[in-house]
Amino acid sequence: MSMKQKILIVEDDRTISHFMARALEDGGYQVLTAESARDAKTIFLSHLPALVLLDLGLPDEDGIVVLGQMKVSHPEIPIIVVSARAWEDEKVRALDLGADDYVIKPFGISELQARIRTALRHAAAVSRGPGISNEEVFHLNDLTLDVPHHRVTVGDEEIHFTAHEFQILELLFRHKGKVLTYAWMIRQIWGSYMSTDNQILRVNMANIRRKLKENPAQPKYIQTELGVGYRMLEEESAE
Amino acid sequence: MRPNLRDLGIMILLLAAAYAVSLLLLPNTGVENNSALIFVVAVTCISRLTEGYIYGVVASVLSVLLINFSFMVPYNEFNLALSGYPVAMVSMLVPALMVSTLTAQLKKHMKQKAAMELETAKAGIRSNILLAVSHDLRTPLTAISGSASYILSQGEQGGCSEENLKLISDIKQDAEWLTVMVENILSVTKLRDSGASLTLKPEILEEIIGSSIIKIQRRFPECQVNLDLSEEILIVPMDPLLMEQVLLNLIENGFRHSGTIKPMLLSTRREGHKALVTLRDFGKGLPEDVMEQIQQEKPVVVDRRGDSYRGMGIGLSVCQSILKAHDSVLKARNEPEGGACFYFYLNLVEEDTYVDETENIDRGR
Repeated sequence: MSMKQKILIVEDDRTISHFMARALEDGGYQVLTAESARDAKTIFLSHLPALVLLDLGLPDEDGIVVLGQMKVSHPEIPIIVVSARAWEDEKVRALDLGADDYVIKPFGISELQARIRTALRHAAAVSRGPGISNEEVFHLNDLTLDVPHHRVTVGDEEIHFTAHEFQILELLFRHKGKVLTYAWMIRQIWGSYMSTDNQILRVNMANIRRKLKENPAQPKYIQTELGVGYRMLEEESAE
Repeated sequence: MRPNLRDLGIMILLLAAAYAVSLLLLPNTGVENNSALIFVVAVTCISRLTEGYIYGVVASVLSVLLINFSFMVPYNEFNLALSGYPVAMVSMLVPALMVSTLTAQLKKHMKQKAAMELETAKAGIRSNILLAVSHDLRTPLTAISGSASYILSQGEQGGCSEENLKLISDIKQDAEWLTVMVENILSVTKLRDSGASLTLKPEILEEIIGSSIIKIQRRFPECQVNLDLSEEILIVPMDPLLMEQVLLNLIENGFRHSGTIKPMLLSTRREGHKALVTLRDFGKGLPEDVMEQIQQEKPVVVDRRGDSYRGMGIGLSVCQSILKAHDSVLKARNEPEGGACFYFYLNLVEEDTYVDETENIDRGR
């Protein structure tokens, strides 16, 4: 296990890839860099890195296309999209194409490192077992979700949830740490015929949060990704 | 109208051509109707190719006279007493007038279309430039704040003295501030480009509030905001990122300019068919002139206040434009016991539309 994990940084701006590389090397990774989509694809296929940091604004090709191609050939390699544009459509599109996470410029070093650790941990978990978590009892801090007994407890207190609320919590738990888009969650729970209206999901989520007594400014369990979806926090990143 | 040489030329040329063709045909056919048809074609062409009505009308009158003189029995003299003469006159004039009218309309239409295309092209170019600028600004800003945050994360082990680390922390702060300004400028562009057609999606108000406070605390960990949120779920049609920008600007404004770091208070509650959002700080209150501008709903301009107030005007005026696009108005007052209070009302999505009806179906199964 002494081999350093390789991270491919695809970024056409050298000043950015510079500091990212420095920070990641300090974090114990081996860093590869590419400044164009062409180089990125070549290095990706020849090195098969442990993770890719992909800037979507590349000089020779749309980063979204590169993302799609990488995910088709090697879906197991996690890709974190780095985007300069905050428009939500792009994030949703990247996530739908299989991106594992995204960061918006500008970002801090600690944020980037935390996202990388999470993505690598998920990838490791996936390679060990089946694609999604199949546990039947989930924990996060003091929250416990017992699937076979259909029971949710916070500490010692049992909280009643409706069928849909329970399904939403279960879905989030099974994909802990990942951003789930509204449309995807709705398809999973209500089926595809509902996918145009995400209000039902949102209201259910608001009720879940009330029952869990979440402080919106300091969520312990579920984070809102504005305009995109929800993410269940993990022990490490929980505030 | 000034006579146009080009149009005059076209008229003479086409009439001459029609005359020549008629002359050629005359010995072969001998029937005067042919020449009339040829002249109608010429008149139609003249009307289409020239500006306005005048050339078409003149051409049709001339045609009638030419046909009468040259191609009707008796040849080479006028005989205005012929029985079908008014009919010939009218059948020349009518197509000339109709085609001229159509041509004029067509030309006007094309001009309008060209102007519209130019306008959309201009708007497209403008927003493309702004998108490009924002991308191009974000990239170096990311590098500046990222590199600074890397050096800071190294601490004194990185070979930087404590004083220098402070300077680097200032660099990081200002880079982040510039990023917010770029964001503000982009928001305004987004508003201007979409105009009244900004697509508002129903969003849960408290999600936007939570998200904006998390963002602000990432930049200013010492910034505290207490929440007093409505127990009822408030759903507001909005553009979530723009609405977040409003809260980010107001909270940052309260944090930087209120002169205190006492926790602010953000509250929401239903008032009739509206949601009331209030942000109150416990500092020195808003300056008189800023308050006046907000009350008169004029874009806030803050000048000659020194650098410590930089960004306040931009931030607040962006809030005003975003709220306006949400059918709302930014309001403010200074509280008697001290501190400034910003508030605004937002439309609510009608209550009964968000009942989860599928839940009952589910239970019935």
